[in-house]
Amino acid sequence: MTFLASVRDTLIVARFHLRRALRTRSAVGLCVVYTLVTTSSAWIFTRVLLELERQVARMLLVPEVSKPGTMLDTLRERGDLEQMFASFLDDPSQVAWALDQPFLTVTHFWICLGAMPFLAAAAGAETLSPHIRSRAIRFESLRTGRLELVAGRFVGQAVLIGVALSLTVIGTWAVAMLAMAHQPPLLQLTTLLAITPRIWIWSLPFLGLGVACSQLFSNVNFARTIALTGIVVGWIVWGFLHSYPMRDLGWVRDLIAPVMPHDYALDLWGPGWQWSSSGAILCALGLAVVLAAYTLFRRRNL
Amino acid sequence: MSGPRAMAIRATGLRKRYRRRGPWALDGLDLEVPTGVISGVVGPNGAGKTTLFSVICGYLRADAGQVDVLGQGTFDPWRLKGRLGALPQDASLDDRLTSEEFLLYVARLQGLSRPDAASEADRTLGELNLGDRASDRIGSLSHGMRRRLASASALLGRPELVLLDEPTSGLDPAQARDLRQVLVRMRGRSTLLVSSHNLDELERICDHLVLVDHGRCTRQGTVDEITGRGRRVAWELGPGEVPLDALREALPDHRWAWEPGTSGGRLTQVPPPDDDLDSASVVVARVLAESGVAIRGVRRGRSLEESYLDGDGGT
Repeated sequence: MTFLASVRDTLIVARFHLRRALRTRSAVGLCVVYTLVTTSSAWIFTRVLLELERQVARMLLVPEVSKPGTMLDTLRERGDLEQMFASFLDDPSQVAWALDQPFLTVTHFWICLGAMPFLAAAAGAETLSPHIRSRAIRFESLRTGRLELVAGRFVGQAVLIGVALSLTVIGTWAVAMLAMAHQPPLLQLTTLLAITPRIWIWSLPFLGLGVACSQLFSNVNFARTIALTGIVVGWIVWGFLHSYPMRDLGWVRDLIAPVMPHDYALDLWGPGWQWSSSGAILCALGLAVVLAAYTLFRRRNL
Repeated sequence: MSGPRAMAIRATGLRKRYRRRGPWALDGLDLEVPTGVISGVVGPNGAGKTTLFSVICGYLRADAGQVDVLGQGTFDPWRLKGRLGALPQDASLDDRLTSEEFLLYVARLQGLSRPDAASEADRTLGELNLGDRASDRIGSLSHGMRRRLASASALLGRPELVLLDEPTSGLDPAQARDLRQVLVRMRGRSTLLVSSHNLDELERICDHLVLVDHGRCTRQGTVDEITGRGRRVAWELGPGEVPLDALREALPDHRWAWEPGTSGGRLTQVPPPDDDLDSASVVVARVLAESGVAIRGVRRGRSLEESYLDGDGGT
């Protein structure tokens, strides 16, 4: 086996994974779900924002607005928005960059930060389990290595998630144009597209978790449940590590937190390519979890 | 001087069970399949045939023992790339794909270039009479067609070794015959290991047989050895006085047994080792004709079914 042969087979498997996803309409389902989640979340956010702006208008005895976003410029000018961002982000350059973004771009980023782990892991859990259960994987495992089967599916699913994420931009952009005031169309679109690779990178460790579970369990529902439970447990552990009771056990946090993707989420926000090193770590974490499960998958009965 | 015959598959002491304290599906199985033969695997349900195929193809890991496939050691997809084809017994095909898409994919994984994969897919679909269903979704195919499509995948790229686990299961008689003809045409080019419950079918196409029971190989050898084709001849005779004395005089080294039936009976002739059975049969036919006994049928050895069910392999 040569490295090039391995890459060739990985790409063949990835391509076939995409073709199969198109044929089974799971690709369409994935795109629809992602777009629905982000678009509806963005829409709900605009409704909440509109209600807040109306309340403020009533308090200040100024005319009520029909579309949200009117007051955002005022808040930005007064420095209130800066204060709000500073409470989330430690780095002043990140705060400054956030202030330059259209508000719905910031919202889209945060929505995806919360939703993508679950969506990516759920999609990842479907990559191998059904084929192990139906034994269709035997047609493939006879002809190529199990590593290539896993890597190909991981790559194929990652591409699919990238496409789905790109499509979510359309929904959020439409909400910005239709439901908010004073949103520059081109800037809104380009900033949404610019943050999409960061969200895609963020999804990879969780996709890896889904693919890992899919290697280990032939029941797709069980694999998905374990993956989603793993994410919830991960958030709880990460929250606990940064909680007050852990203040005297900083070494524990320093030991565990760096191998948790949550530690790198906020690094993805910021100007230029500052996020690329954290992005590389997130990629590595995704591959690491896939490879950890592979050590068992390579020996399992198919 | 020719060396020992090369073996396509050699297994020694294979053991496999599915649960920690469960029964052994393979219990110290030893097996040797010579290169270039069509070998049949025969055994009752639960004998371990499918487990054996799965271990050879690397789907299952043996708990103990060794398998050597095409001289490359234990199954390794990279060392055996393009050299091994297999029809798994109960693997499903993806309903939403077309027959051609499925074959193209596995052919590409087998290491074929895109044009070669396309031509191989066309060839195998044609050989298995599925040429007109190439663009049809697998979900629209009948069970027999799916089975043939899965068989076609095993023949892609003309691999050196092909393992077919019950390939004619679910096929109608005409489809089964067509598949048998395809397999027979591969004789000499590829080594085939075929499992089937249809013993008549195996007897017709195989040159080598492996009898498996309770996870062990109970007997293996050529079809002639198993059925005793070279060691006995059964003459089905009509009514009349059988000239046993004349036969003993004409062929003194042969042993004879007469089993009378309701009308006529069966005369069993056991020649000495290395005897020229063709010449001897001419003598027997002449003696019988001179005595006026009608010859209703002649069969060399026993049927595989008789040999298998009696458990004596024709001896």
